[in-house]
Amino acid sequence: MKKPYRLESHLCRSCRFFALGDPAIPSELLTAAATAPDLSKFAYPLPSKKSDYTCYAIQGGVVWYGAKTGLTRFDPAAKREEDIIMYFSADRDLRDNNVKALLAKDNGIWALTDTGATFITMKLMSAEEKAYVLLQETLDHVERRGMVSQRELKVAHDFSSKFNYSHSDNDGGFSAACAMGEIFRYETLKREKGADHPDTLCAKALATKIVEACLLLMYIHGRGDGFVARSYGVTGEPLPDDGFFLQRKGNKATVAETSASKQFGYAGVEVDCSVPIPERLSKLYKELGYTDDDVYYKADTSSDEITLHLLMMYFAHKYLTWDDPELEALIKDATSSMVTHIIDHNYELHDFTGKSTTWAKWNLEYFNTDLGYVDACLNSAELLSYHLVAMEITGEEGKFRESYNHLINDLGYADLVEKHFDRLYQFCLATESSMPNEIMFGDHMLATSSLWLLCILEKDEKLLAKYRKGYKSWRTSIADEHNPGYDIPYILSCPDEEIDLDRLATWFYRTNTSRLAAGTSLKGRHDVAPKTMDGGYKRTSYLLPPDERYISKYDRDPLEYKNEDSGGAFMIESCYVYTFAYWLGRLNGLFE
Amino acid sequence: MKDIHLIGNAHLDPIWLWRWQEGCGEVLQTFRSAVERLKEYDGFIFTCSSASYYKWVEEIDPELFEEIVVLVKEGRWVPVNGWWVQPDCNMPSAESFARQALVSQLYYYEKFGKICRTGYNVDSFGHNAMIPQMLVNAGMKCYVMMRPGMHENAEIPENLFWWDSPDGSRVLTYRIHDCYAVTGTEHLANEIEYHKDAAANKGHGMMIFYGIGNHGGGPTKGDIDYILGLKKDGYDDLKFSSPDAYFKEMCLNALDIPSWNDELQHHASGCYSATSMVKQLNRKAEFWLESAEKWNTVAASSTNLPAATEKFGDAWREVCFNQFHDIFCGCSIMEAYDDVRDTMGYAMSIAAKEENKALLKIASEINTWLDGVSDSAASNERHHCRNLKFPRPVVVFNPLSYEVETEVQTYHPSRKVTDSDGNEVIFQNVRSSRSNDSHLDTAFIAKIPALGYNTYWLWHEDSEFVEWSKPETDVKADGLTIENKFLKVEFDKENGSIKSLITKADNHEFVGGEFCIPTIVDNTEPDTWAHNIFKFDKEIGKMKLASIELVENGPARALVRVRHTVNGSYLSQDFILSAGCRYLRVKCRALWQEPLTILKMPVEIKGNDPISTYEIPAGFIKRPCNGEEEPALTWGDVTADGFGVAIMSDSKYSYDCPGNKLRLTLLRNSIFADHYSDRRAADFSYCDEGLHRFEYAVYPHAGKAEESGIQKLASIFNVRPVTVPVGYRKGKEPQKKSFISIDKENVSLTAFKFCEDGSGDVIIRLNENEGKKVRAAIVCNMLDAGFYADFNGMQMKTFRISKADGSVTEVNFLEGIVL
Repeated sequence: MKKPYRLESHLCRSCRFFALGDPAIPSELLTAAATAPDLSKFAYPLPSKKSDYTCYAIQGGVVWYGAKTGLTRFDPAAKREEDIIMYFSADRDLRDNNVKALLAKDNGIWALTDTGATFITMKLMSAEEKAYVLLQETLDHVERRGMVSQRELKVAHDFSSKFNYSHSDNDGGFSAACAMGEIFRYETLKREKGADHPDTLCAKALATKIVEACLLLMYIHGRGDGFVARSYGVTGEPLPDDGFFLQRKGNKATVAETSASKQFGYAGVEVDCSVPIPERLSKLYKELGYTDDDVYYKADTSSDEITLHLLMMYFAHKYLTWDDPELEALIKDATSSMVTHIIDHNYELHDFTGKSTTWAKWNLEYFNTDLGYVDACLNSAELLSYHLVAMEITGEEGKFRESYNHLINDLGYADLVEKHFDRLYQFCLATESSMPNEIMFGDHMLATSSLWLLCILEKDEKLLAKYRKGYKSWRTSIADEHNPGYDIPYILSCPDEEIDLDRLATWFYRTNTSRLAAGTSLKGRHDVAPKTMDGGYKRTSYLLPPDERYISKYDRDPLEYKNEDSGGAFMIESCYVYTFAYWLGRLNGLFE
Repeated sequence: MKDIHLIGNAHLDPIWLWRWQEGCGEVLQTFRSAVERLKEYDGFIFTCSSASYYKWVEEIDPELFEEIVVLVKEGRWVPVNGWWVQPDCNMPSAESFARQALVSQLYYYEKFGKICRTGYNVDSFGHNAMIPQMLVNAGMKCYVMMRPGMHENAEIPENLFWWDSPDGSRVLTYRIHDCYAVTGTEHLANEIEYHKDAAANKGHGMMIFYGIGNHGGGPTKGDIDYILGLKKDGYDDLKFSSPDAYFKEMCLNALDIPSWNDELQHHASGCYSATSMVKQLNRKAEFWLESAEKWNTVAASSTNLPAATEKFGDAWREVCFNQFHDIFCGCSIMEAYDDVRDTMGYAMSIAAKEENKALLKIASEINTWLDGVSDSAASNERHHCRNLKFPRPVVVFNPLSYEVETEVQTYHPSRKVTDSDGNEVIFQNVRSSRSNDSHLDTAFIAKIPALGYNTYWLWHEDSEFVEWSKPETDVKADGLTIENKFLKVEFDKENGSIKSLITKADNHEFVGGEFCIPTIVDNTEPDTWAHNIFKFDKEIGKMKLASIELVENGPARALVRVRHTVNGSYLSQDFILSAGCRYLRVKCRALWQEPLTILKMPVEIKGNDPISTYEIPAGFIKRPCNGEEEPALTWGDVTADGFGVAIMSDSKYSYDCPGNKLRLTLLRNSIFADHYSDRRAADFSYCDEGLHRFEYAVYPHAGKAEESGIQKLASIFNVRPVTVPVGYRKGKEPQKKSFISIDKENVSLTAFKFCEDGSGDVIIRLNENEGKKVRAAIVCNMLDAGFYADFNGMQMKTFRISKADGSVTEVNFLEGIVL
């Protein structure tokens, strides 16, 4: 292992907004003269067109340039290339983009725009501090009963206006990702400070709670057959009109009326839910005063959820349960049940309908369909990884080994793993499309999860070589993201490869200190050359730093030319995007 | 899925064993014939490449062309290969491939409303590793090729495979089994049987390319009737088709095929060196047109000079035409090269005129005024028309995207030279090529900004109004040893070779054997192409040293002249080491009259496990040091144990590297169009017979070749600054200026031109050339543009700058005109 890369403390932007007329706005700002700077010979690309700049202010060695299309910070002495020029825009950093006056004051910069004023300070923060700031925001505003995905606001930017409930189609998967970040934190602190250190114990408690929340999804349906719910809600939380939900009552769960359930004729269908939910897990809602009958759960679970749950269970088993046999037993049982369900149902996840869910199919019948043909490479890796995880966690081989060998020797699944790029490219040609258009960026996390597991759990050199080759075939698109959450598992899986740690440092340095999904303004940017792909999809000419591009989970194209995603300033996202990568890197000695 | 797609086509060599006029006639006859067949047979489909052929037909037989337009729109006539011809696919520069696509795909789009989606170079003699990138950037995602055949390289996948280039581009590629011109019942029957078996074995469909070819022709009625007969007899898996339809069908079904991420070599290894004249013309024309168009764009953007886009288009079309594989590969008849000389001359004449206009226009805006310069002068104050009281200004222009510090030369000897800031500059009065006047010119070391100019002031040698300047220099010479601050070179007085080459920074000795000693190799067995011969290793001997002397020893440079002879031939080499220069420039003059010989120039280094590296379009490639003849663009390199030597050239394309010895092929004297050495007695004409003037350079370095700065140096070596004498003028522009800034030296500018749509938007094309992912900042204040771009290693990217507001969009070779 190479020497760890030292992540230094780095300047992070902090913006406070003021409505026009707010007495906190300095009067000098309102009367400041706007003198357009002479930028005719400026040596760097500028975010705004030169003629759009209307004013400037100097603060130490830094010059702030105000424009009709946002605010530019110029620090010629910045150590890192990407920090020399920074761009601030609406509505993440400004209320609107028409900067009319600037005032350097109180170690910050005041920017007056049409609809208000912003006071911006640049705060020095370590990567670890940022992890805690983001975690705290998530705990304060996103987390609910241990589940961590996202939270909507009634009023843009106003955290106090958050709804008291939330829902995401991928609650389980996102929570599992967040759990992993906390498991990695726990293990890191345990090694660095000791198992009994208060920080370690605090990390353990949180990691355990989120793991329990994920495990709950594996029991909450009361079916006892290894099925996994996507999500659940409780009485008082509005039931979203988004897929299939089943309301528990006694030993029966009834399919609630939604557009989907009515369309497919399932509304009102009753299914068994008599298998008890383990007390340790149901306490997550019972301690809040809810009963089992208050619960409604979401079905039609996808392979995405299964993959992330099993990756999380592997790490929980590895790091978290060493002194918690009850949790270990639950993990073993859930893993075994889940993978057994898939094996017993012809490599499908079967729903209350008695049939496969829409997106949890890993068999050849699916792979031989048009959609499945392209999915086959990912899904085969997923399915193989499930088997290895089941063997690893349960310590049993038996049916898992038998099925694993069958998949490899009789059905050629290990060979399919290598075909990802070929099939994706073929699909592009068949549909007369081009690569980025057809890439499902959410698949990057799923491919990372399953191929990482395959590479760390498979001991057979030949199979390992196939899995590594398969992993490398995904790098054609994953590598362009320069996302530590992808690159660290890759280097841990394929140690002969190289990753650019300095480039990853940019990601840590420039990630926002809040996961409010407020957007940025690409349209006014003069230093980005968008490329229009087939079908009108646009990409940026370079990977913008995270604090200048839209906020998303690990499921979008970071090069996509767009301002915001997933609800904009009305949505707070989970911290897992950062904490998963940061603590994983720390734990494995890549960063210090 | 396992169908046999019958591709009716006609391979047309516009020049080969005939001149272009006959090729043009052959195109017209073939096109007429194909239209007739299409009228006669409902299901028949005809496929044809090369936009230049369509252009000929449009100009000479517009009625026929109109019929073709209708057939294309009906999908029965399928244009393929969005390039002007089927070029050689090793030697054109990356920018040439871009222009092949630009002039052709826009033509197809204008005439037919669509572009070609399949590349098709069925006869080209090998394909560089970057072809997938060239195709994808031109809107083509599939490719058809044939050479090398399986007998020449069995490692390359057979039939259908994915082909990846180092930048990450990919094309679905079909390698034709044996022949692109299957015709006649027996031949067709054999091919059909072979391909049916192949389809069954491989699990996917196959293509057969039928129709009389080389000298045109196309599918005959007999061929088509035979196929129809087979179909009637139950051969349901035979279908009239096109490459486009074939590839589409293959992708609609499960496809399990291999991938390949290397070049496709070798077929005709002699083609990288045959007929030096066409190689030299191509290199010169490519760089000159690139430079001239850059300057036209600068001048037309900053002065009232009009854009010359159409003229440059005309010029590039000629260059692209002459890149046709049988022309550029030097294997056509002797008479054809008269036409090549004329048409390349036409192209370069456009470059020369437009460059001159642009440079003078830009220079006319520079403030070079000196007070008092217009006062009347006494006779002792004048030399001819020159005022001796004042220095004369010359403006030196650099079209490259890096700052360049190099030796330039200008008319008249000097007493003192200063730069635009008044600093004294290293100079030396050197012997000019003329035997008139003073016989001397001034060579001085100029430093010129990226895509910019710098003004230098030269006091005439006869001036009494200034002291002789003696600037400090790093150049020294002692006997047959010359050195500067970087290099020390010692020559062997016995054989004229270099016996020691040391880089001073690390005191590393590079000479490990034969080093710059001209070596003669037997060329009797190979035909012009060198069919079936991949190594030129039968050494006849070394040329004999006739003389060696230190000719120049001044502040700007030292020069050792070495003359070798053999029989009635000679090679004169001027080894020039300039102040502050990291390489040794070698100016060569050869009179060659040795039939069936090859002249090679070796550099042999020390060390173990050598690896050779060569420039290819848009990047570089590593090859084993196995002695096979290899194609390269401006440089080749051999490196061992962390130290290497690169050889740059201004006109050559062929190297070999047996072990630690890299050898540049200087001359290859074959008989013109000598096919399989079928030499019936005649008074043969040889393709490298006569006088040759060319240059090469030797660059020793530490580390990997691609990280040594070789690409930048090879560009500087090939693209010399232009020195323009100017008058005294009150201008508004400074004496030194750059028109573009690119902050990474491994990202170079290959095109700076106006968009072909006449919008006034400017196109810039950039190329990463060290194989590294990099982010570059590009600033062009003249156009109010500045932007960042991420590059993969060896990736080319094209951008379009809006005339309206300087905003930038990324496009491909087709400039955003065709999406």
